[in-house]
Amino acid sequence: MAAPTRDLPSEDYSRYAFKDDIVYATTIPKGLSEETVRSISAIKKEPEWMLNFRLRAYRHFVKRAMPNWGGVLSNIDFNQITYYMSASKKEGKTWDDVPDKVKQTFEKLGIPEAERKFLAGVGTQYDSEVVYHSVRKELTEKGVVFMGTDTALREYPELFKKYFGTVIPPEDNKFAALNSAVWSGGSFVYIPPGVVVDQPLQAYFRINAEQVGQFERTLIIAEEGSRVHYIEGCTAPVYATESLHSAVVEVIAKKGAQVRYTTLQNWSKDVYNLVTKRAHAHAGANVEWLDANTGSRLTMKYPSVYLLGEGAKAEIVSVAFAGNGQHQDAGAKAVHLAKNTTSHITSKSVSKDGGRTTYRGLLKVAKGATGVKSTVRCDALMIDDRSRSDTYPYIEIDEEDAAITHEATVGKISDEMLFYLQSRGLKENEAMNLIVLGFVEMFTKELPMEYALEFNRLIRLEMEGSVG
Amino acid sequence: MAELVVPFARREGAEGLAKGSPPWVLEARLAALHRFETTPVESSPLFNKHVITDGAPVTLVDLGPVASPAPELGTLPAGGFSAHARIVDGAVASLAVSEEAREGGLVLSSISGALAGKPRLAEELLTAGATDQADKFFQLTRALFQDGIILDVPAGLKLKAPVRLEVVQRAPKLASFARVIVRLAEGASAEFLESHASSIDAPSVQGIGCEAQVGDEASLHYSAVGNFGPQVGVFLNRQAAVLRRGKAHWSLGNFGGALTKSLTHTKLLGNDSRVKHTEVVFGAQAQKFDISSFVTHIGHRAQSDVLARAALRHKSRGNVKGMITIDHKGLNADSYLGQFALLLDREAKSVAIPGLEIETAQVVRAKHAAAVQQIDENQVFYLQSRGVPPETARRLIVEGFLNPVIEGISSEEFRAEVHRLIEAKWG
Repeated sequence: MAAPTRDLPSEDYSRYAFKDDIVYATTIPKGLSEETVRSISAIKKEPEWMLNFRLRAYRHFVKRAMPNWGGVLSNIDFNQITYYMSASKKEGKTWDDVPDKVKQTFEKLGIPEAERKFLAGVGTQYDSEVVYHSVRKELTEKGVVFMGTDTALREYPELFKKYFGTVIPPEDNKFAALNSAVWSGGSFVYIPPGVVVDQPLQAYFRINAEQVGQFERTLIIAEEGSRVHYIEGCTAPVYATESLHSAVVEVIAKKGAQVRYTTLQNWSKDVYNLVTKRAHAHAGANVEWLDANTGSRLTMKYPSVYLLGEGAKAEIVSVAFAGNGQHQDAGAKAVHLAKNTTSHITSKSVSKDGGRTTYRGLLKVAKGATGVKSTVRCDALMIDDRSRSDTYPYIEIDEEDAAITHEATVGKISDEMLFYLQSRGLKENEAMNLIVLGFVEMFTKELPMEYALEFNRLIRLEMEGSVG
Repeated sequence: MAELVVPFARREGAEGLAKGSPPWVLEARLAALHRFETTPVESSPLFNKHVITDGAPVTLVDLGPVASPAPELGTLPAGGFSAHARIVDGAVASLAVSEEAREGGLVLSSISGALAGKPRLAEELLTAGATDQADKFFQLTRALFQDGIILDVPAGLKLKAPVRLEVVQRAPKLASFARVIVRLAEGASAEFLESHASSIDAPSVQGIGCEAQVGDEASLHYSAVGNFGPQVGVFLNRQAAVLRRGKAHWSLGNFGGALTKSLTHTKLLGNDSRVKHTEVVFGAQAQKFDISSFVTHIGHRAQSDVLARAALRHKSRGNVKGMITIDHKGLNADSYLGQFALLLDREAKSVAIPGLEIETAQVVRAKHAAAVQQIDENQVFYLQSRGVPPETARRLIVEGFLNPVIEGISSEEFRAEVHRLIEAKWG
């Protein structure tokens, strides 16, 4: 008797690859100059300090050399990129205000349903400006602020100025400088002291127009004893030429605050995704980065936590999937600057069809940071012989009283595992899917249900054609 | 990245040293000097924030003189060696081969002697062998070596007793460079023991470049224990190319010097080739160690096992950098890279970077591990409760930490020397 076979539900992936013809309301010409920076600031009617901040960042960007490590960046032509574009000039207060074209796009992505079901708020970014934003009433009543970063600059100028650019100064790296010069959109989150936000705050970003760089800027401030979970997901249409996405995300977790930041990155395979993400964790605070990268041509992203106060904790989970033509240069950084701080870093990467995954991590223990405990674990799975996996962990210890361990393994799917699953009636590709999904499960199980489903679908999509 | 000013690295120096040699020698020296000048201190962008260049007294020294001609083979010192060589301040001071080894066809020669007497062999060995050109200081040694030795072990000869090389420094304020060239033909086996010592306490520089070819089914066990004086800048480069079913085994100990920059790179070229690489560092006072251990897998089913352990006292610094590269041709590789540091004082510093670059999924195992730790006070307490004084307990724990590396050294004499050096660090 033939072994029974089961069909996994087939998915329609066309919704991940589409492009709408939008008439852009405001666009400034391609290319980057001081004039571009001034125009962006003028269009947004920004205060002078922000213009000066942008100009300072631009000047540093021009001076700063391109990184000579990581992925191949030489194909990026900064003069072929449009640095500002907005689909509507005003943020939509309600769903009705959002332009129809934009709405259709988001419907394909399933956002309205997501909101109806269990998400606390929706901040969706269509190209360079937040076009739709809603925060549920009770959150507003608790004093939670969740809005587009541009709006926050207008509505909460003092709060904004106090924290903006304090975690990641423009001089941090070339792409942080670029973002600081031309940033547009992103989310601003403020959680007052002691406030616990039970449901995740969600934001969706997309790059739509060909060659539009997206330079969103997110700032999260969690006051003492507060708690928040922020989720961002990215999908983008497929284009033939390069796009650039260079975001900056700053998180400030005050004393005892808990912040979790989840990212599902699925940019189309022509996007350069060069992102700086960093959190400051004050005494007793707990910061978690859950970061999954399945899309883009090249991702260079190392979510980091600076443990500034005694007893602060960091947990970073990084998952990467690199298929044909992709390079996921991802990792994590934990910088221990205070006593009795702990960090756990877990990295899981899968490479296939000539894809390349790189884990690049930093673990630093500064002088005086006694009683530090840190563990790093990296596992890489290689599906075929054309793929490549690299691991570059940096461990810098300036303090005797520290316990640091790092472990890594690289391997392939074992024939025994495949054989076992096939003997239970699974087809080879189903068995491989299952093994890969199991490999990244420690990430998936932390996601809200809808995201977990979408993530599993994405992994299955990536795994298509792995057999035979 | 800090540059390192090496004032004695000059064309005239290379020209002076090449005088009387065949023209290709000067060409090779100048080519190496050019590569030295054009190669950054750290060739890999991965490590260039983690290179230690300070602490070496290179600006206070001059290039050592042209070596006087090496002596003929002399009598073998006691100790039961197959062969014995002594290099003093870059010049070969003595050479000896046991009768048994000579009858078996073992050739031990100074490089200067080989250039004069066996020019074809010298050219073949001096120009081949380099498996990794990227190390700046290897190029410096190739440009400015005063002399060195060639050990040629013919096919099938299995040396029963070890070959001993002593590298000694006597002259202050000089930079001495020596090359060590080892070739094991098919089926040969040899154990090589290299020791470093200074009889002076003055600024100086010592470079040693070792190039080994391990033929099909040959086996080389290379142990080296370095204990140069406290003001010496030490530049070590060791490379091995291992062919089919060949086996290389490095047992390396780094104890002396102001700054030790060491790079060991094994290329597993042949199918079923193997390397075992163990390295120990014990730093004290303001000593600095910049240690790189690289393995490249190219042959099928090659195995590598790399383990580095560093114990650091006082203000010493230790950077241990490793890279295992599995080439896309290196199917079914089995590799392990472990890097561990034990910090014994508040001021001690360590950086560990155990890297992996893997270009094929056909991997049996590719694993690395690193840990930075301090002495476990529970262990000290336990030993104290057994009547061991706390200071002795700490020493025992450090010895225990370094032991997995030390026990790989085949020579009892060398193991005893390592234990003596560890003991001396507590003084």
